[in-house]
Amino acid sequence: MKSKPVVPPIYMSATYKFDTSDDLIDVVQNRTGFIYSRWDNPTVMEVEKTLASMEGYDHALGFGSGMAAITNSIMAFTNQESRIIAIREVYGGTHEFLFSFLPTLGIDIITKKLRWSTTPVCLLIRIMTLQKGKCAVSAE
Amino acid sequence: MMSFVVKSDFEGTKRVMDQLKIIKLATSLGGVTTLANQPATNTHVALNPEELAKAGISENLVRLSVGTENVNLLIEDIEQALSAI
Repeated sequence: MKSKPVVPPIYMSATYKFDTSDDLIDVVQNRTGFIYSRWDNPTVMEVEKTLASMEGYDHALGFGSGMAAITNSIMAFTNQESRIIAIREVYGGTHEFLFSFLPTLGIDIITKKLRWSTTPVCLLIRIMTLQKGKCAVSAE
Repeated sequence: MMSFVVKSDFEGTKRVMDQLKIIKLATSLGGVTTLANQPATNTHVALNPEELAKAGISENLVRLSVGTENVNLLIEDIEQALSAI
């Protein structure tokens, strides 16, 4: 077909079917296609591509919820050596994650390394200046 | 939800999977569509050979999640696929 839908379709499928086992193995090993929507989903990829291009990055990651994005990005950049500095007005769910959950993994919420901020700040609509750096997350 | 081993090796099991017509070759379970997979190549690909052996997952194991299709069609599909060995 020589055209594409103006509004990208919403793909609801959790899983993807294959014609051959070799195709399935290739996708599992090389991510050359879709296998399960938890990994890749055409609709989510479209959003990721658009977000990345809007923000001027090569890649963006889409998640099913703000807390999924927050949890994943913090976990990706922290270990027991990490210290996190966070703003006062951090979203309640993030606060609970930082102060109740992370200490159980031995991660203290005290000084630097990962600077955590969301903008606009939940409820107060305070605008934080996000430095273009390794990771910026807008979840609220 | 059931699993079975094909009386063949890895390649023979792959041929059976590729021969399925009504049953879809896909990861996941518990849906309305009958899905089959070879756990060693996808759902359990992260396990090394020792871990696979410990878990009882052989390379000819097939996992089958039965959906809502007519049961006779499913049985016929498995029969014709097994003939591919």
